[in-house]
Amino acid sequence: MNRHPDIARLRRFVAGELVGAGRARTARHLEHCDACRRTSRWTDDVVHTAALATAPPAPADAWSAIERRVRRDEALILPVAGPTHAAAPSLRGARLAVLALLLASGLAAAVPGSPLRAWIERAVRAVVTATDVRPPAGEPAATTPEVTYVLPAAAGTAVVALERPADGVELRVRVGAVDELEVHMRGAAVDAQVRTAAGRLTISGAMGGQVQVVLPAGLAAARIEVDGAVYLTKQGAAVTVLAAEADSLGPEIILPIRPGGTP
Amino acid sequence: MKTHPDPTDDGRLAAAARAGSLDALAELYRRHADAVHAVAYRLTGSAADASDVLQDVFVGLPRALERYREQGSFAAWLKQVAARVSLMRLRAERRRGERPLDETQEAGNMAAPDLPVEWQEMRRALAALPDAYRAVFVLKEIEGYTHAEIAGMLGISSGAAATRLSRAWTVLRRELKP
Repeated sequence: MNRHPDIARLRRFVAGELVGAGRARTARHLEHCDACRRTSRWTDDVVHTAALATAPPAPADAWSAIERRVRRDEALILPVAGPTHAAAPSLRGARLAVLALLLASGLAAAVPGSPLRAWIERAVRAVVTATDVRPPAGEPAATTPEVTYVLPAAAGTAVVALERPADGVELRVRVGAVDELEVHMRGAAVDAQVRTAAGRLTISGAMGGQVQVVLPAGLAAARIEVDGAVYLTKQGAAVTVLAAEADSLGPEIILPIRPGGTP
Repeated sequence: MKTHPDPTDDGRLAAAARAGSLDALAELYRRHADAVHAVAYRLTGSAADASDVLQDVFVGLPRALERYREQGSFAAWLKQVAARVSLMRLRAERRRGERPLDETQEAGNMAAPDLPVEWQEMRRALAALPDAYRAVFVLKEIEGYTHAEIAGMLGISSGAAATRLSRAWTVLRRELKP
């Protein structure tokens, strides 16, 4: 690793969240870089000081106020689970609708330029959700527009292919306990053109945003391609990452997109 | 010597508080009020808001305990409830226009002249963070939640949580100048 890792990466390294090749690269860098070791120690100091500096004791008169309110039988419902804003509309029904549309789309694909196919593509693209929360600018978030595609595997195999994506597109892959392959497209990626065929979903011209692929754990074989180059394969339970600069964040594998079809 | 509360007692006290015992609620308050207040203070950046959150958490606790399943630490569950109440308060204030989404907090909110200089600088730097960034910084770095847990609490993606954390560190580096 020639470039210095940023602070977020150093923190993930310290927390043990960086795995595989990314962790090894960062460890090698830290062995030789005094500046990054100093930065890492500085971040530890910041967290330690922040915890100490922001822990004032509870106000002395708080309990008496609480006791008064409880004795008045004041009703208060606390949020004990789920997101802290109004829940986004359920995608279950939408996903079923998309599934049906995609199946029909596969049939329509045999007729290039058919009105049915054009109508289906418009309908699929209309499955967009947005919540009432606006994130800071430029952030890939669930709060930006999102489209979900569900791809039934053909004979236990599936291919997700990206064609001509912009450099800034974020490609993430994880294996999950889902029945069908899911592709969640967020931000600018929702405007990309999507084509389907049996066991194959092709995303063309994504100009930004995030493409997240969820591979069913039970899927026999799968492949993620970018401009014809294979970035990741799944054979049974074995996932092989072929992209050189791949990284991980929790259960997700992050595949940086490189132009020209080089994984 | 500081003694730590017996977590099994927390379960017994929680059951009693759920059944309406004010004494049990008072004991839970004695044990956990400082931790709840600290979470609220860190997330809201305001002593007044933190005090309100503290009150709301314990006023609503008997009813909330009906949904508490004794799995894991009661203290951790209570802190998560406090975090959620704090975040809801932030959102409600924003909707009412009392707290702009990405503008900095009033520096005075976290100021305390009798604290060590290093702590004052830290409070000033944290106060300079936009709410959205401070929430992720506090939840991840100080409270120890995972990005996935934070994403669930904030209603954002894990990637967005990671992005906000990275930006928070950028602001802190600028403010604290290591």
